[in-house]
Amino acid sequence: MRIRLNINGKDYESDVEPRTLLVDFIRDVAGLKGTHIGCETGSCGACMVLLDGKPVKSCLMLAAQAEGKKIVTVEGLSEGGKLNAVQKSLSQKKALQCGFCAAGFSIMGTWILENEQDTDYERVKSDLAGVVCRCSGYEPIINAIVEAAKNERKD
Amino acid sequence: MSERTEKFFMGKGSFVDDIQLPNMLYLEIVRSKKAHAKILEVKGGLTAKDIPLTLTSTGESYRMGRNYEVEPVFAKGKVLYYGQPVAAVYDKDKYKARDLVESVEIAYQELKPVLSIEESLSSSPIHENRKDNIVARFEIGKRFSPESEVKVSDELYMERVLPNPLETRGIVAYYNSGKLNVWISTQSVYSIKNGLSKILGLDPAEVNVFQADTGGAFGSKSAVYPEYVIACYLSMKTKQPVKWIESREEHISSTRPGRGAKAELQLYGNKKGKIEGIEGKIYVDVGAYADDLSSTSPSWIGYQITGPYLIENVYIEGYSVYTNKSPLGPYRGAGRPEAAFFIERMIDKFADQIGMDPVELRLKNLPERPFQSPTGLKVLPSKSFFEEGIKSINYSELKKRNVGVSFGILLPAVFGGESAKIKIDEGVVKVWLGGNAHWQRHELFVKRILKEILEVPEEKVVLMNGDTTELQKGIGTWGSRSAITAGNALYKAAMLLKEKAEKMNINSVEQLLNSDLSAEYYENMQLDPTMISFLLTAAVAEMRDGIKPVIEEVWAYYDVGEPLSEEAVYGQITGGLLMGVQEVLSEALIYDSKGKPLPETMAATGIAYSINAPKYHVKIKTFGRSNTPHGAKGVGEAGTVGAPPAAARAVEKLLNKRVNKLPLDFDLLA
Ligand code: FES
Ligand code: FES
Repeated sequence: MRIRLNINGKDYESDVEPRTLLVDFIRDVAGLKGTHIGCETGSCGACMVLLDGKPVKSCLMLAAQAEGKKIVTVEGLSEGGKLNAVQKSLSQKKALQCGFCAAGFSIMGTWILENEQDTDYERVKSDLAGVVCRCSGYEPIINAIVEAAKNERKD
Repeated sequence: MSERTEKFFMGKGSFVDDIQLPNMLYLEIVRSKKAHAKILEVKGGLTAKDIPLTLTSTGESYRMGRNYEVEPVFAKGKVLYYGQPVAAVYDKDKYKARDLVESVEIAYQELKPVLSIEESLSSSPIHENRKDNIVARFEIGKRFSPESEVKVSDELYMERVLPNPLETRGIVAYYNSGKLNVWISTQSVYSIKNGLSKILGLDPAEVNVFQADTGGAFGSKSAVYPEYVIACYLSMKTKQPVKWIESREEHISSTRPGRGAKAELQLYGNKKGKIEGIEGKIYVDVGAYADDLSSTSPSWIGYQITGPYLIENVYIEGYSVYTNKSPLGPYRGAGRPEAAFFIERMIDKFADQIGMDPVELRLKNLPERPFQSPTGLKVLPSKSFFEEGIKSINYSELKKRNVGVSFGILLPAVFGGESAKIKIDEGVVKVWLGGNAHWQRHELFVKRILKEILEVPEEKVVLMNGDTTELQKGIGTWGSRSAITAGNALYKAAMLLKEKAEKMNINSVEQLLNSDLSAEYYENMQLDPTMISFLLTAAVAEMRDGIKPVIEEVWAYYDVGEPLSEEAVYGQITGGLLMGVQEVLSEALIYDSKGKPLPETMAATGIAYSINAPKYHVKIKTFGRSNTPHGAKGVGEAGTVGAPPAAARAVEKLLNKRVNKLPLDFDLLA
């Protein structure tokens, strides 16, 4: 089955099996390895991407279902080699340890900054409920996103 | 800013599943769907006939040869746990390889599975060559005749828990021109190298192991597993690269979980709150096969059962036992949380029984002078530390809420020491450590040590992934050891490098960076009481939605020695605390009546999400430096040691019902 997907503004086209998951297309066809697989059952959010601006778990979708939509992966957030506000904050505050959850939290964090009116600690904490970090205990990540939102407001 | 994190945001990490080699084969494992059965026939796939090998004990679990049953690479004749590898299939296409799993037919004759410590003690042996299901028996301390006023008895249990790092296990093996090259997600390239060469009968010089970026481990990535041997064998046979990536479902059924420990204890004391002795039995369910670490685990728990306290009399019998469950491995803390949970829960019960405040009772039992427990454990006096901690968390106020407090110690696994290598290469200072786990903390302390000794700016220092071709000898990252052991080795390697530079009249950082100097250092180490950190943890429980107990707030007042980087220590503490709390509330690996794991997804294993995170109050303290040049103590497992007893007590107060079994029993809520 011929599938063409628009990822980070670029078209990728390939012959794949109809059952190909979106996450496998992103990783194996487009070669974008920043999106990870942690569970393949929607438990962890390591595979999170933006689909027409909405955060989705790319292990829960077929690649074919994403045709005609705009997909943004973690690589697409840091244009021209510069981290976006959320990524910068996560990095500066040393919020992550092993880094395997980096894609999930940068995608969710970016969505929060763009879409939430209210970005206090509790709001961010509940928005992040679908993404797992096994290392940090979450607080450092929540703080980094709250801080990024604050700085954004100031600018 | 840290380049290490930055690359993850750019998608430039190199985790093992990111590695793509030409002509790569995808390996899939066909696993037992029975917990205990005779294998009548296997049709299709690679099986024990092709690879009749058996694992050896390596990694964190390697100590010495003992008499126990070691896991075969593929089940031979019988399957002894649900998820045990029976056969393997492969294809150059990942999806097709998965389809092939269905093509293998296995005929079983089912046997009754042994699924608990109690059943293990009363059932006939699951290994026919043995007389019972006992792996090993230990005696810890000395028998004594209690003549105390007060006797406190209880039975305590900590359920099995999965390590569940966000990245599952995985390997790429490529046998090429007489060398076996292995890329792997691991805590120790050395235990993988030693294990694989021993099991496959290869000269260690033929085996190169490279650490891929490692997405968490918590104990699960230190030892050699059957799948690694199969992947290597297949690559040797086909001369093609072979990749195996564990699915989460396989992680649940087949990666080694931790805990599964039970204690039947009696604590003796007087009505004034003095603890006079502790005795009883400790059992550990090691699953279907054992290794050094799991078989000796009851004795390791018993060794530290007196915690920071002065308890003159101790007598513990320890038993490790076989069951039809996946083999036990280390999980964050590995024995330390068990010991802390057992003693701390007994102390709370003692306090209740004599009507004394549990914190007051604890303070009363701390030694004034260095104390050697009858188990052999040596601890330093810690009263002033805990007294200050109690003030710092404002206990007199907290007492009015449903609060639990635990006092604890953290024993770092320094045994074996560690190695480090520094090499200056085109203006960059490259560092390899024997312990590989690439948390940010490693990177931060490496930069900090090199800045201190060599004065090189942090951005010029790069911590490399583990690589057996660069650094030949090393141990690994586990047991809260890295800051002490790897920190020590790096410190001394840096001193050597400095000496070399001085001899060559290099006297500016610039000249140093332009040189091609290198230095390597290895040192064995022994546990010394100055390396033991003290932990004060408190937790407050509340009822959410009127039905669900939650831990609202947690306090950690932790002694980490000289902290190498406060920021990174902080995240390790909160991460550990959350795991510890969750182990009380819901995190567990539970089996159904046939021995199949109940959880089918990661979420169903009860792990914590952001909404489960309590409010943390963390204070990082230096209560004396360790006997190492940089003064660090351990920290990695602090939270999982301190949180469970504190959280269990908090919930106990909330529900007004004794909590002696983890995770919380839903019956308690009725
Ligand atoms: S891999 Fe998609 S949610 Fe875990
Ligand atoms: S940093 Fe390891 S999972 Fe988040």
